[in-house]
Amino acid sequence: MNKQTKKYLSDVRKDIHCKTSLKKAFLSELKGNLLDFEDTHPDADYEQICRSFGIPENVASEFMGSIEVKEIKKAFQWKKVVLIAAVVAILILAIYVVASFIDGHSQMHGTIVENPIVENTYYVNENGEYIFETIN
Amino acid sequence: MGQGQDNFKRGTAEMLLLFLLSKEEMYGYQLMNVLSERSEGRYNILEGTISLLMLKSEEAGFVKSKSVTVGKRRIRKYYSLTEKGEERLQKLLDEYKDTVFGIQMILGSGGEDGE
Repeated sequence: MNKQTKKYLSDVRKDIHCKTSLKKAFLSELKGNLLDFEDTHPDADYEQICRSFGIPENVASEFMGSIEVKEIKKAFQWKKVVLIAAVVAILILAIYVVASFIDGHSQMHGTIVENPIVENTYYVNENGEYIFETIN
Repeated sequence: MGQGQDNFKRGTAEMLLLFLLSKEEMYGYQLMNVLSERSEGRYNILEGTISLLMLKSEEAGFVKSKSVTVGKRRIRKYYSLTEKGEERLQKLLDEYKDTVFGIQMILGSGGEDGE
């Protein structure tokens, strides 16, 4: 496959959004037809390919226009699931990195010492006096 | 090319592709060329439409394909019509003829009834 044909195929691929199996089958079919074209037009440039096969955007939109809406929706739903999973994974990784950093930092610069809790209390004795006590 | 013409072609493409395959087995690029040649350039449909129609027709069992090795390593898919495809073609031809007949009746009337 020559450079022009490769570029054409890649330009069509960019605008195809559907389930992978259908995309793969379509692009394989297109590739076969492009190679047949290449056989009969070995010196064809990009413009000649476009004249015979259509502008890549149009070919892709023609294909997308023929696919049932539910198939496109399904592909986008999968993309959404993958995107959400990626965001969650990034968040978990970020939390892990921050926690590791804090842990490493405290190990390098000494441990954090917690202040003892001091509780003050009082009671009234038999003489009616207030007695204050400190409990550690 | 007008959008109306595009829609018309899209609607009739399946019928024409099945018709061509009922005569002989062909591969995708050949189908594209034959359509253009026989219509003297009046009926050109984009590669995307042909590929998708072939994929869907094969999935539905209207056409079957066989892979033939061309040159050293290349595989070319030849399509041919199945029995189910012949029934589908007949149905599409009947619908097409009926629709065209109806359209001609409307155009032939010259809109006189509507006045």
